[in-house]
Amino acid sequence: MKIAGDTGTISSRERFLEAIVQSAIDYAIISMDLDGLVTSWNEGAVKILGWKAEDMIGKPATVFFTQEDREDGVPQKEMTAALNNGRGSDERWHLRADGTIFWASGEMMTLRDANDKTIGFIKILRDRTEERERAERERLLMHELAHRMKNTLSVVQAIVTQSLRNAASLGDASDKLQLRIAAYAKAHEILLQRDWVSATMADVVTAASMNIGLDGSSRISADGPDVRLGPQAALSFAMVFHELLTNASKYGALSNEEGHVEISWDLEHRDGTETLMVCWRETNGPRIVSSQPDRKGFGSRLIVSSLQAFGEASVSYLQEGFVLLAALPLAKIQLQSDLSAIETAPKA
Amino acid sequence: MRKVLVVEDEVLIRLTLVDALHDAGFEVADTGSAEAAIEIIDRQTIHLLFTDIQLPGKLTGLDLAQTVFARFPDVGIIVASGRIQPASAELPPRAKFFAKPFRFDQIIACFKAMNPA
Repeated sequence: MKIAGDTGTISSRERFLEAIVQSAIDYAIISMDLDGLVTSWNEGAVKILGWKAEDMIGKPATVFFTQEDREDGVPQKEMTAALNNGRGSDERWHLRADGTIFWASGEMMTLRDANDKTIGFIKILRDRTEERERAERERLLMHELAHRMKNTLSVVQAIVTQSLRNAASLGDASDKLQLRIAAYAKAHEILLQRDWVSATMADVVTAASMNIGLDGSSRISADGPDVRLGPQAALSFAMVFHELLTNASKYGALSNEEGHVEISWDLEHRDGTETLMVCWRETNGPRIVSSQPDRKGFGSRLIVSSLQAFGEASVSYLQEGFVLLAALPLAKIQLQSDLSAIETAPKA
Repeated sequence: MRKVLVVEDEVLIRLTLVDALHDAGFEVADTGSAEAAIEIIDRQTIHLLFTDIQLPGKLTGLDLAQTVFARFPDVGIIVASGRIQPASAELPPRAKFFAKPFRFDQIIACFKAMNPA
């Protein structure tokens, strides 16, 4: 490393040190005089910061500080710290020649001559942007998980309150409670298997049927194209299908020996919006005598309110059987969660 | 009878809170977004507001709470969240904050203690 202003012969030891400095390309190693002007600039500095040595020698080593830091006098503070304590730490965003920023982690030390007189500074720094972003992602992820945990507990608390409130007996409450929580848990399981990105309509229907022991039943048909649901929609649909199947088993088409449930869905363009059309139709069940039977329990309200959060939904109590129709804009049901936004988020 | 507007996008929590408030003798309106809530207060008189902070759409529950306070300073307001603990400056004066999960009976007791609007 030829330090400008340095004179005399170059020893083999100096050549050895120079080779180390130049080959340490993951480290920017920069020396400066007492005025903060660059006296050497290694290959690592070229690689990390982007300026070439010939462009930097003799220039102030403040160009790679952000304007804000320059205005705050950060370069001077670093030099003062190095003079007073021997070292000054440099952990901050720095600028590259192309104007982009990176997170630097490094130190500034004083450079002394043979008589221990301070003749300048040496700065060593690394690009730690990836590590910093990883730490930031982890922090966000932990925060999101904590939130999700609290939200899940709130939902479970609501399930418990509702199941106890509308129960005919303690045994009834216990059944409702266990099945609802299991349905909610199964939906989580499907989402986890798919990295919390999406679940298909078919997955959600199958999981809900399995939860109450109706998987593979010839009395339930489910048919539709491969439609992916975002996490929020998948959780909502899981609860909706659970309540629908429970109601059908208790009062509807699955409560006798002949009834049938037909679940169908399709994608349609409605007013220029791609829309998921869902139909749940019960046939051959016990005849419904009143158009507003006593099925306005919590389950029925949950079904309609849950779907209305995504679009339009209505239920009809036809004599032939219960029918649910929903028209849900695809964009709303495929909305991603905050968690996937963290995964793909560009740096802060 | 005092009317409560419940704004909560998690349907299970919303319906359960609506039922609990009904049982406690309140009249209740409910919706899942701040925008829909503003449409409701344009048409109906409400005396009390319960809102979650994170809501779908552009407005948060804090925005809604501030809007309601600006238009109807007498409305009693409860704000809840599992994520954010708002600074008191972000809440309208006299508004109460509840961290999720909260007990439904605590929400009711808090509303009952608020001065009749």
